Amino acid sequence: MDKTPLITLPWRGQETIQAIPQLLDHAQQIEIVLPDSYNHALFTALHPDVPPGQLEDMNSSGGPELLVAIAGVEGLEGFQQLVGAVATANATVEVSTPATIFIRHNGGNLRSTPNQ
Amino acid sequence: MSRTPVLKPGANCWRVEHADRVAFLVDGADYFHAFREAVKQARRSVLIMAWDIDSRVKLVRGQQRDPADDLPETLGNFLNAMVRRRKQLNIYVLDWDFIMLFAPDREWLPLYKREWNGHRRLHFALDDMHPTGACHHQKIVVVDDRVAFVGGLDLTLGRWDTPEHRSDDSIRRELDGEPVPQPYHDVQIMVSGPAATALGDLARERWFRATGRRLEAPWAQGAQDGPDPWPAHVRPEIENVELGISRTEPEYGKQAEVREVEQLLLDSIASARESIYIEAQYFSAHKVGEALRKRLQQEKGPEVVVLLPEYTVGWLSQKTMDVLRERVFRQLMNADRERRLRLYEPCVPGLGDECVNVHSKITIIDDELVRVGSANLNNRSMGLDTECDIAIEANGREDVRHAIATFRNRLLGEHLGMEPARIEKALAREGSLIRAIESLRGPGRSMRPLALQVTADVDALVPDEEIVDPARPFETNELVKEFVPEAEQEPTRRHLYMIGSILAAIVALAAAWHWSPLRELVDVPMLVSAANEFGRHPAASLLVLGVFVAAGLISFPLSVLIIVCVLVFGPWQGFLYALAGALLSAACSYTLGHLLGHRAVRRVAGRKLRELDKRLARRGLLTIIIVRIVPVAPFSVINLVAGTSRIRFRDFMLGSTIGLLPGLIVISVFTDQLTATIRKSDLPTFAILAVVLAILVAGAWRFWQWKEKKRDSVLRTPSD
Repeated sequence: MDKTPLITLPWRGQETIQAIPQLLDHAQQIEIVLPDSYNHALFTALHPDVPPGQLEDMNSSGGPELLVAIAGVEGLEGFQQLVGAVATANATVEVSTPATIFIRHNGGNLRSTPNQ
Repeated sequence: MSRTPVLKPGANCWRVEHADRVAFLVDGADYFHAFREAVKQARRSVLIMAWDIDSRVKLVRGQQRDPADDLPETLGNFLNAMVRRRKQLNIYVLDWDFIMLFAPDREWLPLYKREWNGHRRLHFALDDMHPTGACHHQKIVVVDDRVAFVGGLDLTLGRWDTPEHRSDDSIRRELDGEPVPQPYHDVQIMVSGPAATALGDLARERWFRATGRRLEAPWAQGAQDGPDPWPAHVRPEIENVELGISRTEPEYGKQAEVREVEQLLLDSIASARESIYIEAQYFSAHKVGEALRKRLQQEKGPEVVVLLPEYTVGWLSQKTMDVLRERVFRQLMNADRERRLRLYEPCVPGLGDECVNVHSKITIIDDELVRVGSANLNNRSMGLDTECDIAIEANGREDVRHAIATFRNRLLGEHLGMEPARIEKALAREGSLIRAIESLRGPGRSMRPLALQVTADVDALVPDEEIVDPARPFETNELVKEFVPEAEQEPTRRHLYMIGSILAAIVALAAAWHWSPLRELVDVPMLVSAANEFGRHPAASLLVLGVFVAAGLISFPLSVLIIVCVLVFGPWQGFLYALAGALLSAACSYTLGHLLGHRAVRRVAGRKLRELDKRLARRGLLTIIIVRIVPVAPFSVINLVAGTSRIRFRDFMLGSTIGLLPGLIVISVFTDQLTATIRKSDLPTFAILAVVLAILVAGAWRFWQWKEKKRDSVLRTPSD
């Protein structure tokens, strides 16, 4: 069965977290759009060494360990629950500005795939 | 049709944060009152970031006074009373370390005033951590990280006013015996909740950069346990909304450039469908002007209504910023084929030659987005000065749309002298912002079309915006390059060598005087007497002027003549003679160049002439000032070239006077000190002289090295 190129999920807390493991089998990429107010907290969590007051333009990528860092943000603790599923699926995680998290299977072309 | 959100963290805003409550405080009276009420509830921390602050300003006046309130009315005394009353409260005031140009209008030497240093928990610091020519323009107050104010108003003199802006309102008077200040229109936004905490972060970061001291957030000290600092008398206009905090920060040291405000303005102008309402002090930001021009060129694009002061404050601003704004106006008018642009100024009867100083910095896009802050619509607010704006967008929320529309109608009601409800009705009736305003305009308090006032002559005098209103920090070598052709800059090294040689010769002479038989051979009193005798001679002044003219014709170094003048006539008289002589010499050489014409002078100045001539024609006055200040070419060559160029004689003489003054003052003072040292003639004074000279030579050497390095890097860049 062909996988859906991209599934976009608005952030609804635990409801969104619970939906992701099932979707991992059906989508090449999952995009989780967080409220803009998470941008600063995510930036601070992912770039702790950047001096305060810089332009907060995020571009972080990695494996499931990135979810651990994301789960350190107040209100996003639920991402900790996805570490196992993402590791099993051999997927990668990318965070970009404004406050968007991508989970994609290796080989998926994140940038060139149009949103659905 | 749904709208795409404008606010994008990391692009056009720093952070999007939640605000529990939002209120728009229109004009100083409301802001000062709300500020005072909020600070009265502060428990741990008050942070004040200012472009200007004055301890003498009265926070409450007239009917705002509460007989039961025993706290002082003036800012300085009030803040001191608060730190005395609250044992755990610290107040931090960070004021821009202003340049002397602004000194007459400001509180003098604030660091040494009891009001600012009289209590150990009232911390006052001046912030000079910015590039040359920039300023800290943010106006932020944060109380316990729970309530914050952002906008165009500083807590200083001349800001307090009511929406009536009455011409004869004596309550506006700041200090006894002083005249009533000009009416002042401005807006501050007040927010509470996490947005205030974010603004606290911003303010603490500024404090750290300026002082090296990190401040602890008041949350860590239990500030949330205190009473709500939101002033009880202020009704929130929006509740529970996300807002964007946008900044401008220039590149400085390790700090990267931040241009969020500029991007926010461009994105919001691009998003407009029906109307763009702007209140601004200045109007010269070229990217903003270009964005508006594009929208006006579009068929069925939005209406653009701009409210500005009739003229800005101060002759310098009127001769520069007002000229730049009219250049933008003309571009917009040319693009406005569908008559969708209106420029207005507030009209208040009885003001005479005065006008309402529109100082607010507001953009309202449709009923969808409102921006309030410190950023002017000029280039320096986009990339040179530090700024902070707040933006709120409706994002489909009807209550926020209503609040934005109500705020705009309230502003228009103030300017048109009527209840906001009439604006609302007119908008509903006309279906157009411009038609609504036009249908309500009338005699008395109203809005009237802004008349263009700048003549072509004045416009020609003012250089491009890069100089008057730079969009980012500039370096001195770039300034020189802007005005002086590269070829003309070559003699810098030679010129520095010459200055060094002259100074070294003088010191050698002083040394010889001290350690050689010269001292016995030459009688000092006799020399002084001879110089005084010459100075008293009726023809002395004519002779000096003649020497300057003759020296100019043979390109004799001007610096030497100035030194001799000061040695003979003393610092004051010598300075005046040197200035008069130099200007007469300049005028003669200019006239000579004019008579000889291009061809003859080209033989003297060679290929350098064309470039310098081009710059003189374009920016004559400033070019002359720069080439007089910076040693780039022989004095006489500049005069001759100027004489053949299209620069007017008046501008040439004015530029020469302004440009020669700094060098003349420095040489006069140095020479006077030198002679004093020689007269005293002991080892310590000679050592001081040697140190001064070493500093001068080292400075000149460093300048030359720096200049060479810059030139190398510029030359290397294309091949890298």
